[in-house]
Amino acid sequence: MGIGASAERDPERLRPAVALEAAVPPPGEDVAPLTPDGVAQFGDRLRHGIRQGMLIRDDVLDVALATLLARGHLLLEDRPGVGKTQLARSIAGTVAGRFSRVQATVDLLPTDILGATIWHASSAAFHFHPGPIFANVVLVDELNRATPKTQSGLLEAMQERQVTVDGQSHPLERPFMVIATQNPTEGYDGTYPLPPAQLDRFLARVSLGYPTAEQEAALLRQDPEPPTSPTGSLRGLLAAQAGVERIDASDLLLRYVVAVLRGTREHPLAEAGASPRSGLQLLGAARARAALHGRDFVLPDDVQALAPAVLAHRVQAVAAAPPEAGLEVVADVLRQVPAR
Amino acid sequence: MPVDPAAAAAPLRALRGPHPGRPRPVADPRPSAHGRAAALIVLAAASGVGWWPVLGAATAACLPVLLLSVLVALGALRPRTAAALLLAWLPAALLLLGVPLSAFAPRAWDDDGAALLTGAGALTDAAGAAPTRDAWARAAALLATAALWPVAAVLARRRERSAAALALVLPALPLVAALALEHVADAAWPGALLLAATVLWVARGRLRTLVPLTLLVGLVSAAGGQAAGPEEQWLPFVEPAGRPPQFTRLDTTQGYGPLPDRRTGRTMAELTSPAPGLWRMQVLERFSNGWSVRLRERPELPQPAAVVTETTVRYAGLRDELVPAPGRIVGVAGREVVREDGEARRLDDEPGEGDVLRVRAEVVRATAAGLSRVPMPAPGEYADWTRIWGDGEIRRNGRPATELIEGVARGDEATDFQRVLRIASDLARGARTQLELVRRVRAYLLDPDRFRYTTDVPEPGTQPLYDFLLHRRTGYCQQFAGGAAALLRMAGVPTRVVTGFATGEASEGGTYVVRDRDAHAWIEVYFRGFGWVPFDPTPAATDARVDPSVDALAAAAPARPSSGGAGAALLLVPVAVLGGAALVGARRRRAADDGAVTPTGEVLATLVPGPVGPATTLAGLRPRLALIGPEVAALADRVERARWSGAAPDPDRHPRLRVWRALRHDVGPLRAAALLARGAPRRARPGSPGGH
Repeated sequence: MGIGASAERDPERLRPAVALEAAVPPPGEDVAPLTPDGVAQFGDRLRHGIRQGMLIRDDVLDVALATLLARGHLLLEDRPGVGKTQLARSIAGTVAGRFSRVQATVDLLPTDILGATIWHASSAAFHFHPGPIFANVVLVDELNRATPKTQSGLLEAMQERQVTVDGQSHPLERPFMVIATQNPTEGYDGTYPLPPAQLDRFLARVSLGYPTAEQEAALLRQDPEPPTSPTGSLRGLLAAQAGVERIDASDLLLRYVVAVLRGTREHPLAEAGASPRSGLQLLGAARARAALHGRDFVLPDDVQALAPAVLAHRVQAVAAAPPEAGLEVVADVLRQVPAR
Repeated sequence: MPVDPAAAAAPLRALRGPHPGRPRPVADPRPSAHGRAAALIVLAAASGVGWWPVLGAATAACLPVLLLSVLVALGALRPRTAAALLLAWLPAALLLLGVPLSAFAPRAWDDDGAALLTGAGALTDAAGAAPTRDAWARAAALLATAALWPVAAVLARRRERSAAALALVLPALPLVAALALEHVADAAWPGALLLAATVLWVARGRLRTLVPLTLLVGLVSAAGGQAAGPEEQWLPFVEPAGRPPQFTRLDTTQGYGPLPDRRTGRTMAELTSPAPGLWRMQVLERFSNGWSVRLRERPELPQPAAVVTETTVRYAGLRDELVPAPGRIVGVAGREVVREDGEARRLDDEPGEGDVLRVRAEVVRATAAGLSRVPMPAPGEYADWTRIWGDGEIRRNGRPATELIEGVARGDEATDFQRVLRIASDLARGARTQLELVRRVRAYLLDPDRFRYTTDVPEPGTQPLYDFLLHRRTGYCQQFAGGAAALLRMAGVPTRVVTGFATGEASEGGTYVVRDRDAHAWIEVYFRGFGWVPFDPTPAATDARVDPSVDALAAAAPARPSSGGAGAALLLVPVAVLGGAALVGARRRRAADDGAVTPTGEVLATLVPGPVGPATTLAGLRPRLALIGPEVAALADRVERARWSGAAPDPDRHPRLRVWRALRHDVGPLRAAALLARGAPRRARPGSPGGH
């Protein structure tokens, strides 16, 4: 079957009308990092651009931007039709990046996502045809419908940032973000809910939710899917990501984060709490949020704002707990750890 | 995105209960009612025993009050019911105690009040031979218990610490009053009972475990109290054979150690004399690390101011062969006597019960005014009576010992002897008359902050008097008299130690009853033109009863009342307060150092209204702080940056001052101080989320 059957590419719409800035530098070269103020301005431009394309809640957008700047991947968990695809498209559009979309079904194969080598008779050689994962923003719809083998193939590539096919490694794009979606999984048959180890790969999990009445009315009124003009660039995004890494977190804040993590592990409702990897990712996201606010140091507020999104899906609740116990655990812990 | 916690909380709260993963130990918050009732009973019993000598069988009238209080403390009776029962029963009890019926008429209530007060005053008088029969005194006691115990029982039901402490103090007041008024002889067992009652009061748990624990605590404390006290007051567990023999003779050798015989207060003799005096039996004139009788004959010094008096001695329990007399014995009639060293006379045989002697003795009459005209003696004038070594050793150059200290620089004293010389020379500096010196030495020894009277002394060392003067500073008449005489001799004043009996208790007809406890040692100082004048340098805490007119200096100036430890105790109060404040401040500072809590942040958190949890960050407070003013918000920003940015840490001293300064710019100094002091009113909502 190869590529193309269930993968969708839409390069025409999302290629920038005007080439704004220089192209993304090659993998070996580094981009000059932005100052926190520069990152904050860049973030404002991104926000403006994304808001042009869709209606979205402030806190969800904050988490999405923090994930983007922290080089993480996003998991959207929502009912169908609330704008998940639109969000991915808007993010790609504002940074003038390439967008690709994968619709996961039960019969999706790993090569459908990653790509395959195909014999070209004309050149009498095997050529690698890159799959839809070779893009800046990849939307994987209904990841919980794909088989575990496909899921693991995608997640491995997400982690290693390269695809190895037939012994050859092909690096993924820089910057690179995966936005995966899964529908809430109560009682649907034919789904393979992501196991906790795989959930851990996603930096944040958010839920877009339904819009308010006014927002819905405005949505119906305006042009469906207006074109998104880029307000940033890939190079700018790389610079912003480098700038985020230079934000420092004091020892006191690290102690606070550690206290939060340990709190999730010791909570009575948690079978297993947040892992150390989640601490690293939480700290990265907190740095990104601090930079987006123009600060050169991280505050506990950043941690508090991002912890539900970053930690809740990593907390395994005890068997008798109701659903969404992870959020309750994280909320409890945040309420109790002193942050002044 | 985040699920509303309140909606999700409902099923989860049910889950929170007995979760197998994390059982939380819950301490019983209610105090043990049984424990408190038991403590009430213990205290009441102790008070009853304490007041028994005064009230006698009338203490039984307080039993119903005790019963009501115990029932209230146990919760079996409501306070209102108990009050009603009490009010109904009190008049009947008062009638039973002997209050006349006419006292209940409203017209007589004024007189009733006055009578009650006099009755209460009668209670404070020392316990006589029989319990009081005064109805009003009994009524006062009953009303006092009726006021204290039910209130204590009601307070015992409450949980606040102040109420519980008050409820423990109130029933203990009768016991404490009995102790203070000395209706109870010693305080060991009441103290142990008080401790036991406190343990019962404070401890939580079942009575089954409380009672053995309290018994143990009481026994240990009583045993400890007895062990720490003087040996004579120990409970007589020792075998009678091991006990020291009862006092029948005065042993004039100065042991400076524990008393070798038991004093029981038995009457030794009755002396009839025109004036009170100290009944001496032997003088000790030789000092060589301790006082002893001189063995070589010396000419007796003249006593121009002496008057010969006749004293009649009627023996009771004394079996000593030495004859007591108020001064130097001239003649004894009634028995054969021989001269003895130390200006003493010895009977040929033990005196028996009822023997009578008539003794003629020279008594020196001297007043302080007369004595103050006598100058200091010249060096060497009374060499025999100022010598401080034995007869075989001659003092260098015959100079006063105080001159010997001049060769030693102050602070360089190497031996105890030199240190005592230093004390003597300090006391003698600038004394123009001999009486002045005697007064100084006497005052030095009578200073209650420096020396203390006790009969509980350990075995003496090789230099017991120097030990007493320099190190131990506690002793009884032997040490005080010996030390005073040593100091005076070193200063060059002729002095000697005298042993005998103190004045005793005066009864009618000029008779003085002398007990074994009156055995005493004092000093005599020779004043030219007068004779050997007695002085008593032992503190008034001694058992021996000394008439003040005997000592010329005591008659001139009243003894300074011993402040005891009151001065030090008063000083302890501010020291304790300051120490406690320093501890609290240190602990608060230490608590602020570890953990993510800054003092300034805490102070700022108190300024804002609304819920503030431990997870509320300063950034979360900032909008509310901005409502107060921009300076405060800027301060919050600065503190936040200093704290979390990893730069040099802000020492954050004087947090309140910083906040006040910032507030002052926004709302003015007065309102700033008011805001700081009061804090903002806060609605406490449990489980409210931290500021986001």
